[in-house]
Amino acid sequence: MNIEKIFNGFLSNETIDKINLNYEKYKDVDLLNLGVDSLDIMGIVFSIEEHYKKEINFETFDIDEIKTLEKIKNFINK
Amino acid sequence: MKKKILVVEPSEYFYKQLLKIACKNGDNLYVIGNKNIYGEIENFIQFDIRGNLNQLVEDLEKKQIFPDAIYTPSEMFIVHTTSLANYYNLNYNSKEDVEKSRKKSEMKKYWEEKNVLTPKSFFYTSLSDLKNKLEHINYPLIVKPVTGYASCGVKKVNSEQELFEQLNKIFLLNSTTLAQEHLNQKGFLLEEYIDGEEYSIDTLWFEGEAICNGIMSKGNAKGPYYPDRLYYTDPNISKNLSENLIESSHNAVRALGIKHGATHTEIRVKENKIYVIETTSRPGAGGGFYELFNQYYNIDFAEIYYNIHLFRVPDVIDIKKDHVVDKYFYWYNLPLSNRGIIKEIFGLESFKQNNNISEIVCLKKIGDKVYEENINSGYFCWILGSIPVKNNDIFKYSKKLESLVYYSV
Repeated sequence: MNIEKIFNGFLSNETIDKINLNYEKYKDVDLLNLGVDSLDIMGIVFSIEEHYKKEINFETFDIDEIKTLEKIKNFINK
Repeated sequence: MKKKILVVEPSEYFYKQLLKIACKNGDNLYVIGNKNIYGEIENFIQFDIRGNLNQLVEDLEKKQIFPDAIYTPSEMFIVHTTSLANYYNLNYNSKEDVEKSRKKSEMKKYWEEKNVLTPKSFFYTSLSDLKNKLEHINYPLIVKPVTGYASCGVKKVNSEQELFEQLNKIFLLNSTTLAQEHLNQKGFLLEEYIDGEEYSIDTLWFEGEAICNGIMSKGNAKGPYYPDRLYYTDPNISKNLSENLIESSHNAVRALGIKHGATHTEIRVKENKIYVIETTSRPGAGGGFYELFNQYYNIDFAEIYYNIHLFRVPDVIDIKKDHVVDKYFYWYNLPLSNRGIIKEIFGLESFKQNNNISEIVCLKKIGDKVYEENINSGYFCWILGSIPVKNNDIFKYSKKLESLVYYSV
């Protein structure tokens, strides 16, 4: 999963670097606690759609599916 | 005695107005917000009100803050702020009553029961729920999320294809932005389209009594989208219409059980019938209209708003007398033109050369993300001012404001 591609503009470069250096430490942290603004969740979803060409059925989509980095990874690979 | 007031997520613009009043009264004004957008202020408490309120209460107790007033002028945080206020026995309204205004399907139900005229609407929980009833649908109609802000997700659709395209956007909003409010309101509303002049009525209430009202005209927007664009005070509204608008909005608010604080009601008028579209328990534009009401009616709405939350009993004010007759006071919300990260904002100093502009309030900054207007829950920039009524078309004038301030991504 390319952290920079998904989170560019939503997390600071410093945070992105920290995650890349030690993914295991941050993988289960809630995105909001990583520094993502709650109103940016929609933007992150667009980012996932765009970079991974993923078609998302928003009627059944649950925001909890992308609550953490590890969940996003699983969601992309689903 | 110094009062302690907690305001949740005000805009920077409205915060400054409240701060002025607090300083005048010698009170302590605290802001609770997820992000500090207020500059270097002493009393900022970083907290997302939609989170665990027990944590916030603990934090307030550690800081020895026992609030005398708690409120929010921002739609997204009304329900949670009401919960917090109720915890401190600041029972302006019950959480249940305030929630009714956040869930359009419920709001409509209460209005229909209490004979408040409102466009017919049908609530659906899912696409499959709708698919069984498609043959009964007449176009055009309005489709909207069940909760929302700044008219995001609202569209007039003319065909089944347009309907399904817009539903996809509503599901996106429901599952992302609107999900943050934790109201568990999935689904959507299909509503009868009312072609008519639109108005808003802002009221300040004290324990069930309406203290003062401010009326704004909006024109008759034809759609397909209905972003908050132009609101203006209009001296040409007849006394009869003003009274009827106020009466309808009061009936709508009372039908939901809301009795204290600010309300903002949207209304459409067609063939002399007044249709209440929606109401909410916060000021219009999060307090953005109050300075205009101050100039138009010579009533300090912001001060009354401040005082009613401290249970200071105000006098009832009759707006029928003494308002300005030769000017339009306007609030214009500039459109969001494209999606991306704001690289530069142009024109913020334009008002200095323009006598008809009193203020430009930019709610975004460089580095902020913006989306297409229909799915964006926030505003970009407001322009406030006044123009003479004589020889001016407020709509043509305000449209030209769009070239004054804009951004690049």
